[in-house]
Amino acid sequence: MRQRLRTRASPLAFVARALVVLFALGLAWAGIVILLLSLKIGDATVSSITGYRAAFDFLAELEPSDVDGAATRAIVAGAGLLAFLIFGYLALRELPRPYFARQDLDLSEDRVGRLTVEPRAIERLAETAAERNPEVAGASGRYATDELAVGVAVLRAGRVAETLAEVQSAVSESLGRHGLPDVPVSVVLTGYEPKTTRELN
Amino acid sequence: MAFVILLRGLVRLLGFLLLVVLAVTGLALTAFCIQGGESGLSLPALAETLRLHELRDNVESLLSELEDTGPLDLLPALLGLGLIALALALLLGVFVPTRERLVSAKSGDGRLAARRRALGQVAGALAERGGGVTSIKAKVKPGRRQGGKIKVRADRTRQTEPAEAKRSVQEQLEPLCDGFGLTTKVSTRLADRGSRVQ
Repeated sequence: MRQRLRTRASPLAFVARALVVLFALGLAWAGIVILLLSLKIGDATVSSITGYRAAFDFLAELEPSDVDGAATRAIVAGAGLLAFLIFGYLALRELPRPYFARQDLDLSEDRVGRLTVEPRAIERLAETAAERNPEVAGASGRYATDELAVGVAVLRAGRVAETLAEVQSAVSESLGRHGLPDVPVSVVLTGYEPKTTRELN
Repeated sequence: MAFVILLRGLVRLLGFLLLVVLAVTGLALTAFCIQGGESGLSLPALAETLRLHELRDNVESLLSELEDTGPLDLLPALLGLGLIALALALLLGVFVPTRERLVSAKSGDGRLAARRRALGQVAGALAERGGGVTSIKAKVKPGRRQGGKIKVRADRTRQTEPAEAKRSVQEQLEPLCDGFGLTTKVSTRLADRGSRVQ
């Protein structure tokens, strides 16, 4: 069986991407500072453009006395704990959870046995339903656990959007007629194959 | 595309590592705030453990070397360029999509969509039916969520006015634009000598 491995992306994944963007911007900034300084542009000019000296001096001048008070330590500890909880949770959500996208569809199971449908059968059913449309030149189905995607090549350019909608309803109807669960059906126009040859009689 | 997929993987790994580093840093800060003073579980002790003083001195001396007037420093310049290239590669991995963007006609519980190339071919075939047009080049750009834009360049005959050719192409594209929520931008030019209307 042709198999596809997918990973579920967390909806909070944008936080990690935002961190990477910040990290990349920091790298670019450091790179620009080093490049300009090594080209001997002049440290005053480079500092006025990038502010690297002010940033370094601020960090270099931090002393133990700056964070010595009980109130300051309490704030830092609270912020640290909050950061640990939030970033730790986000890191756990970022762990990849792969799964096989094409799995047998279990219809029923009792003491007599199990009734399952292989993904290819569902795909073939969708392809047949789509190819019954006279405006469709060819179709290919891809079944996943949460979606049935049908790629369609059309023969005529005039009614593309209508043809796609017709294919979608035909596939959904076909699924229902065969007693299969009603999964979302996506139809994608993948090609345009006009009939340019004539049959000789 | 393989390069972008690789960068995408690198971005995911780096994003995860950054989250772990931030979480561990938060925990370490919390733990080292338990005591005051300069020993035990105190922030100065944490700075001492991480040798932040040495790091500060190293960075200071590195900056001093770079700030010195003299001949061009080749190695740091290459390092700077490398950092900029790495940053650009990471940004590429974040923002460039690995999958082809489709032109969506309807989204939701099962969507209707089209590949750019196929839709461009359909648009070209439709636009060629316009009167006074000899050949067409159509490019489709998907919108962020739905719809998109078709850019059409039409070659017209000498007898056809530009506005007339443009109107004729737009009329032909109307059903496609209605179905997919597309906007059109049509430009015309005089066809080469010998071109024929299809």
